[in-house]
Amino acid sequence: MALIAATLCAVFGVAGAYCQPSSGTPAERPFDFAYEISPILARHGCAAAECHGSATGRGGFKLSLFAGDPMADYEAIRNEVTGRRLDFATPLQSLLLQKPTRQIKHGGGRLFRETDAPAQTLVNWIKQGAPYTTGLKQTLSEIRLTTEGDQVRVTALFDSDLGIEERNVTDLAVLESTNEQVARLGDSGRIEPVGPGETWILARFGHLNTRTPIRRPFSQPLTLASPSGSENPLDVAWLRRLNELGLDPAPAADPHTVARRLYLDLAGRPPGPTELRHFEALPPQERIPATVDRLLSTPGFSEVFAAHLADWLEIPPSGQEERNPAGRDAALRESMVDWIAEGSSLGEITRRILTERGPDRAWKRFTDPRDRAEYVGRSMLGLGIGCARCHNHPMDRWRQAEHLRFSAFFSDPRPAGDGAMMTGLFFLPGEGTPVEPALLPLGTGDAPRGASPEETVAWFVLQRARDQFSRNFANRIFGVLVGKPLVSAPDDHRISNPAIHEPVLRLLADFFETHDTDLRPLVRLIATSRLYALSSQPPGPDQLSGDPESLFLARRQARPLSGKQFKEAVDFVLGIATHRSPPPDSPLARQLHILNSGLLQEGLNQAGNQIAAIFDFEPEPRRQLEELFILILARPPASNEIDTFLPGLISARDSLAAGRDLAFALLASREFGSLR
Amino acid sequence: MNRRAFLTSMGALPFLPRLISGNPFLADSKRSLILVWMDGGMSHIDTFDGKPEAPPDIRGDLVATESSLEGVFVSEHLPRLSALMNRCALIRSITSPEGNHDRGSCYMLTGRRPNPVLTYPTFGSIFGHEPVHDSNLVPAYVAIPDAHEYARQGFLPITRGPFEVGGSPGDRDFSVKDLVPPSPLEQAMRLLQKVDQLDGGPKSESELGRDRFLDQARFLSFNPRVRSMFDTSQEDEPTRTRYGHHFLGQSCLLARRLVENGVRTVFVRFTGWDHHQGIASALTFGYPPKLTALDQAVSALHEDLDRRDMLGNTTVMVASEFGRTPRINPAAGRDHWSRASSALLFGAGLKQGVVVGKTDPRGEAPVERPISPADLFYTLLSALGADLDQKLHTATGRPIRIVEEQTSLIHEALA
Repeated sequence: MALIAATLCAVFGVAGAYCQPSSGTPAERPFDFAYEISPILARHGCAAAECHGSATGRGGFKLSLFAGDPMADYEAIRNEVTGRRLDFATPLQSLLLQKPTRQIKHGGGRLFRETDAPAQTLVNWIKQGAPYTTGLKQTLSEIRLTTEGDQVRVTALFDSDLGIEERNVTDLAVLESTNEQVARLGDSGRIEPVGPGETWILARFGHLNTRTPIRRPFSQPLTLASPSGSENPLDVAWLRRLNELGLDPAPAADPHTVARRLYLDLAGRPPGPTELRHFEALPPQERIPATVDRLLSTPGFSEVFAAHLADWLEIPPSGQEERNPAGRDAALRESMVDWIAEGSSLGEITRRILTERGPDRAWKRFTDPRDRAEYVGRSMLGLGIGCARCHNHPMDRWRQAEHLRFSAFFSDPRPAGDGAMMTGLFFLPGEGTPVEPALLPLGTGDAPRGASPEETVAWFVLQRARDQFSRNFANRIFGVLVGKPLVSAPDDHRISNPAIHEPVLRLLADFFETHDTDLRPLVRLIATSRLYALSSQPPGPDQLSGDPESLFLARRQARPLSGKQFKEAVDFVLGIATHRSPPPDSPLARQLHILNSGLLQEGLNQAGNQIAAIFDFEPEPRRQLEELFILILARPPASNEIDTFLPGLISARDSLAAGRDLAFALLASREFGSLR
Repeated sequence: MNRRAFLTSMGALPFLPRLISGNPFLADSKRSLILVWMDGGMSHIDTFDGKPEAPPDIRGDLVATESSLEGVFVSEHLPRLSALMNRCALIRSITSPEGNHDRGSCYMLTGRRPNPVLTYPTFGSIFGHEPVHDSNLVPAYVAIPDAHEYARQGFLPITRGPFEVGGSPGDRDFSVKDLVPPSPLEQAMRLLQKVDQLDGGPKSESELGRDRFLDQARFLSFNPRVRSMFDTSQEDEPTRTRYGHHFLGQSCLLARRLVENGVRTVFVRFTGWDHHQGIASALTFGYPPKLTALDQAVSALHEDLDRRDMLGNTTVMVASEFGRTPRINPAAGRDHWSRASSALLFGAGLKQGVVVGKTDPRGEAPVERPISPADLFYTLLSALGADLDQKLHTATGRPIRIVEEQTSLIHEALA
């Protein structure tokens, strides 16, 4: 038997999947449409959005998008066009074969030849009478992705009455590499190396998907016995990763840069001259931890992180509350400052937002239950579940029906016939049957008995999906401190969107969870790490980004201050509240605003500003220059800066006017507007 | 310091030859778009799809007469546009399922129905963008006075977004927001250049971007010749009067000046078309009456572009998110109606004197050649010569087609 199977394989080039003695050969064992035929449609792109998977199909033949609905696809192939798609007498004359092998005109071109394995499978399936199932009730329970040398292997596990069966489905699975600059996938799951770096191989089979990383170091991996002497677990995990990738971390940034970073990140403003001197006076190893500890207890910290949290939870900023009465959003933002000041954990804050009546229920701003469900998914769990609203998404863990059932938790109570109110019911448009609410398939366990829909959702977000909750917020907190989240597009942790350093995210999420989702310990861990204090100096003028060091967080990337940060920094430097709005987001409008809006000119002319104070109290031009630099850029002037700007201050007839011009230039400078 | 030295210090000299040597726009074949957006929903029956034969509760209180294009009935309050119909392409059979302002605007301005996952970019963010560099400092996309929520860059980077002038060119004291410094800045700007020089160059892509946009801001602000492209008062009085001394008139005039200087898309947002009550009087009274403003400004734009030989390089579209209900409501207004609406197009890439599609005698739905907003979007981008084969990429690198699947061109309108 095995010999026959092997011969068949050799003759037809049929994949190993069909050749396992345990599962029989195509000739005798009936095919299973969902797991043997439908994958051909997915793998060859037939069911892609630009082909037959489009909402209206193509050329009169419509498949479900990404072949997500095998039953409907079977129906379309088997019973539409009065059976012309299948010719049982001469299977090769079936449209299903003539089109993809391009025996007749096909908009999608030739996908395979008549002698190729997929064609052979289709022929054999038609010969069998094109059955839907094997008669054996089996469910796909798991897929596994492994690599051996340059070969990828996908194994599917099927549950049936006969027990668990393992099948090699490498040739049936859809395989993708997330970074084709590193490795591409050839036929039959062969990995073709391209360049150094890291890519993830994604595999999709049936309704399941999984991923595994492939790494090609940039240089010989370093063998450090114990990565650095650092005791910060974040650094340990990060340096281990850099070692694996063969990357060296950048040197530490100079102390002034780090001080400015810390104050802007944790207090929302640059350091004042006295604070900067105090920072410099500390022993080097104490500077950062002592400053972080002090800043964590300031009101500035609560305000900065309440603003971040409002951003993550999509509470519109002041002045843009179109969708919710202004008072409610303002009240919610203020409450968040208080909650963070009181030391509430993010878990507690999220619970209040999800369950408390009145203004705090942020998702109430949406009227459609599906919008509400998606909002909770992306903001609190970092999961973009929206694709599943319209179709099963190949790289999601949930399907359309699950999206709808989850949405049902968010429907508003509606009157029941007997005068009472029904809750938790959600009606499909145009249908009278309510959808039963169900949680997304994430984690396990049942909600406490008798819990209201809001409490159930809160239990889901904070208990059952706690791991994803922690990953989401750990990623966002890391992102605002380091300038780049580990998972880019932080509201969409899908399988095709892997973390830059998965072990680092894992560590941060675990740390966050262990500390009861308390904000401050995690912020302290990140802000006191070596990773946080790296230099942002690029390797060369033409290598501003895209170098492996910046991609893998071995070097900092300077980033612009947000409009709000910029305006608050200007106000802090000038020591007054200017009466101008922050610069807008549009980059041209931002520069015009900085130059011409009056934010700087009027501020510099306003009575009692700090620049005027320097010139009132400091008669010595060189000291004036130093004070200006320290106040505005949080560093003393370099010698070439002294040489360039001092003569102008000395010779100026009106030294205050000259000082204002220089202060304007420093405030409008590249350096001031950037967080380096 | 003389002007030349000042400009050199501003880093602006490289662009001068281009401006001095005349119209940089006409030098190449790149086309520009002026999109006049009738924000709120323009009644098709009261403008370009008149139904004089319909019962009074449909045709309304305004009279429509046959225009210069046979079988096309245009409001008698649009006499100049009516006479120009034989130079335009009129689409009368736009039909869409989106009858809400936001959703309808999204479909018309981005060619896609609203999507919970992605917001798509609009015309001005899709085409005409080249990296900002020394010889390309004119903004590609300008909005007057501001851009609609869906007339923005969507999932594309914010550098592809509109530059919003932030005021009405019809106002006597109009000036572009933050274009002119409140007090002279020469000395401060010289110092700024030195501070940035001594800093040793940009440290990241975002800092490099900032340098480019600062160059662009300087270019627009400190070069009087460049700044004047935003100044409609430089036009002679007869021209200004011909366009009309009101928002739409002066905005269309400004749009022409911008296009002449290399701006690739101008979005003019003319608000106040959501006429749920008293539509006839709302369209014909006030200063200026809505229809008069439309007639005057858009006909003047056609005339002016024609005289300056710019119609071959400039495409103009007048459109809105949807039409309005054929039946007059009890408040003498018309409500939202997405099953039928009209768009007026003329200029580069388009045929002259064509009418596409037709609505039924009551103006309720197309009876021939239904056109979706996506078809219109595709057609307009084609008329502009945009490269529609390239894909756009989302922040996560997902490739997106510019034009949705199953969309077709309105061939009969394309030249």
